Amino acid sequence: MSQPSEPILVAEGVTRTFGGVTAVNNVDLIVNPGELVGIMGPNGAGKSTFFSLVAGARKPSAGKLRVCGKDFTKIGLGDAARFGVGLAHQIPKPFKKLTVRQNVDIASYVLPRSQRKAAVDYALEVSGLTGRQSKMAGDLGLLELKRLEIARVLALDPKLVLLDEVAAGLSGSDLDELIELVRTVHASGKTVILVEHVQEVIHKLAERVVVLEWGTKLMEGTPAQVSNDPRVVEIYLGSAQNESALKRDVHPGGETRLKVEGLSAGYGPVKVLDNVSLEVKKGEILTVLGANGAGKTTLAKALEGMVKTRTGSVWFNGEDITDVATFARQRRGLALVPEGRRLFGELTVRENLRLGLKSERGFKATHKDQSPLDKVYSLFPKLVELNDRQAGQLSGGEQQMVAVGRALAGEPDVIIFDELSLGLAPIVVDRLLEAVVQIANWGTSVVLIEQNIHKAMAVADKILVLKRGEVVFSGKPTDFSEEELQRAYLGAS
Amino acid sequence: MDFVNNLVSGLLLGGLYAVAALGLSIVFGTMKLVNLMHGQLLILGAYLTSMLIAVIGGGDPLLVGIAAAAILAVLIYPVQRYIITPVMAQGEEPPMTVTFGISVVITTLLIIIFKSSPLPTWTVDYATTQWEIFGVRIREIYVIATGIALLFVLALMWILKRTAFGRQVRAASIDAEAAGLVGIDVKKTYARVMSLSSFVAAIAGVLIALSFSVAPTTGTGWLLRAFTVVVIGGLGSLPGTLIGGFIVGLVETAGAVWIGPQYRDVIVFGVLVVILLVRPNGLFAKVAKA
Repeated sequence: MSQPSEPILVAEGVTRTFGGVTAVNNVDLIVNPGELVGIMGPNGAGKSTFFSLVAGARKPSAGKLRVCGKDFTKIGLGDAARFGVGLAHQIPKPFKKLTVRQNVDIASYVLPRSQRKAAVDYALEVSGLTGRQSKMAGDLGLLELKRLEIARVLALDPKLVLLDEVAAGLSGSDLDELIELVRTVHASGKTVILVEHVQEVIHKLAERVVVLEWGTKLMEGTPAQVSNDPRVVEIYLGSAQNESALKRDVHPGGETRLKVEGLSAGYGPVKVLDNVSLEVKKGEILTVLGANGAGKTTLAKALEGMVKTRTGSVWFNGEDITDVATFARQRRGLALVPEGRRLFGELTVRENLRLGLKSERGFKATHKDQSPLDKVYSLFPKLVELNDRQAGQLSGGEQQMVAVGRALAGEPDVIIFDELSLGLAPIVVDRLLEAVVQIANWGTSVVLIEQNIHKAMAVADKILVLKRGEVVFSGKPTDFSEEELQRAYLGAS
Repeated sequence: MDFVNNLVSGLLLGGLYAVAALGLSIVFGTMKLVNLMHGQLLILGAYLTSMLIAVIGGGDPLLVGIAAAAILAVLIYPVQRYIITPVMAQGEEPPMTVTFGISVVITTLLIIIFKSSPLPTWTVDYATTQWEIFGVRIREIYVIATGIALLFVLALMWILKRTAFGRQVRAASIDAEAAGLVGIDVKKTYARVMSLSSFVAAIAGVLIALSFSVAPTTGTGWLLRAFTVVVIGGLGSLPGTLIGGFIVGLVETAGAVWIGPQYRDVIVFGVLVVILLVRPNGLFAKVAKA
């Protein structure tokens, strides 16, 4: 047992480089038993890398790192779990064909045989899954998946719990429940470190916040100290959104680009979308809102032909495309920027962008018409210097720019953004929303699916609100009251 | 001198093995498909060439082989597009089973048409010529095969790296669904890859028929050889396949000389097992990503 006086984490001058890039630079941090520490910082600040060092998944290039009393510069891969470090991933990937309990069971195998059952029972109870333990992990909703991820960590009986963006994708009451769960885990005597973009989570939970920027520690303090520090406000939140950047200089309207009538879709026996209708005119921005599980991503996939339409029809530029394949929809000018970006990670940025070009269709690309790419570079000048980098090595925000650029390369008439801002820092989100407005100003119609409700509503010409797969509101954002919004998200009547 | 002799002939035999394995390698590398009909495609290339020579009434097997390879590529396109690809949505095993079924069909058809007797050998000089350079005896056909292996590896790498088609193939192999989002017709792309693989296989088949005896049932043996080469070289790596070919050629020749020709297969597959134990992803596989 560790003495209460010994800190659970001691980092001194911890540095990690990848090739020529220093992802974590000379970071000092001490975490004492029982603390709840938050780590924040913009994309590319080195949060994930620092976390992977503490989790024992990578080793520091320089510096001292002691976790749970062990020298983490020397341990082998996979040892960290036995030494008492549990990491909950941003995107839970349980064994879908095993039950909740079986998934948690597997994690408990680091413990002596006699302690396993008790540890699993305890983990299930704390994470609120006892009643759902025989459910298949593949059938769980997002919040339940996050609960399972935390249960899997608790089953290791860890001293230190690392939570990597566990709130990503959650909102409303789901977010509150998750915050409550983290609080319970902490109250049960665990030391917790969390990396989080969702400000609310840090503010409600953390006793102490560490801010990283460009791999170095910018400052640390209480949540209040941090959020009032002008340096933090500037790098993390950016200056207040420039109103003119979001101004629409084209009045949308005119011909109908995309029209959906009575669309139903789903997976297997599950009906996710029921009788959804919508219409998007030239240069219009339609924002689709709804709580998790409302069917937003399924709608995006159905529009792009990735999910089969059960009933109803999809019309694009006056033609029925209900049975047209995904690739043919892209060629007609209906583009989708998918959730999670789905870039070709091993290809360079330039190759990723070029793939979408119409001139790339033959065996040998003509390279005659690169003009769509000029537009992309004017929208995101940073991509010019990133052209020869592998897409998979970029930060999340840069990857999202490439994903938007790749969609624009096909010169679309309509572009669908699915969860454009998921997991990105506010300043990056602002930049991307400015780009969305710019794209609409070019006359391209936009379907915007967003968690960031208020920002997405600010740029919308029209909004469509989904609740359990059905349209509960369709019209101008100004006609949609805050109470109605709460009802759609929180389910209160 | 014997040592150098064996070394050189082993390496050059390896060149032939590499050509035979290239088609298998590219299909696995891009479509994650274990193509169990690859051996039959090799043999079919030789038989098609033989039929064409009979129709034309003569001709150099390698030149006629190019035409035969083009015909095979056209014939295989719809097989991939309408039989194998539709099954690929159901996971990795079903399409593999389908290719096995097709291999049986090809073998049976060849037996029906040509009986089970071996393909008559072609009388061309380069099939039988042996050069002697500084006392080292070299079969000319192995030199040609090794040259063609090098040429094909370079050509295939150029296609994958530098052409729009190559970019589409790589994109589809990384994420087929996302490839659809950028306008790539993945089903067509897969069929083209299989055609390309068949083209290379047919040329390899002609080289095999020029070097060894070929019968309707020899395909499976060549599939095993090709499979060994691809696994040793690292699944899906083209230069790895070339080096894998050289290794198998060397090991086989060395084993035949020092241990005994009857143990050739035991030694080759023994080395395969050892390599798989030590480096499960093959010698030259890209390091797995974290």
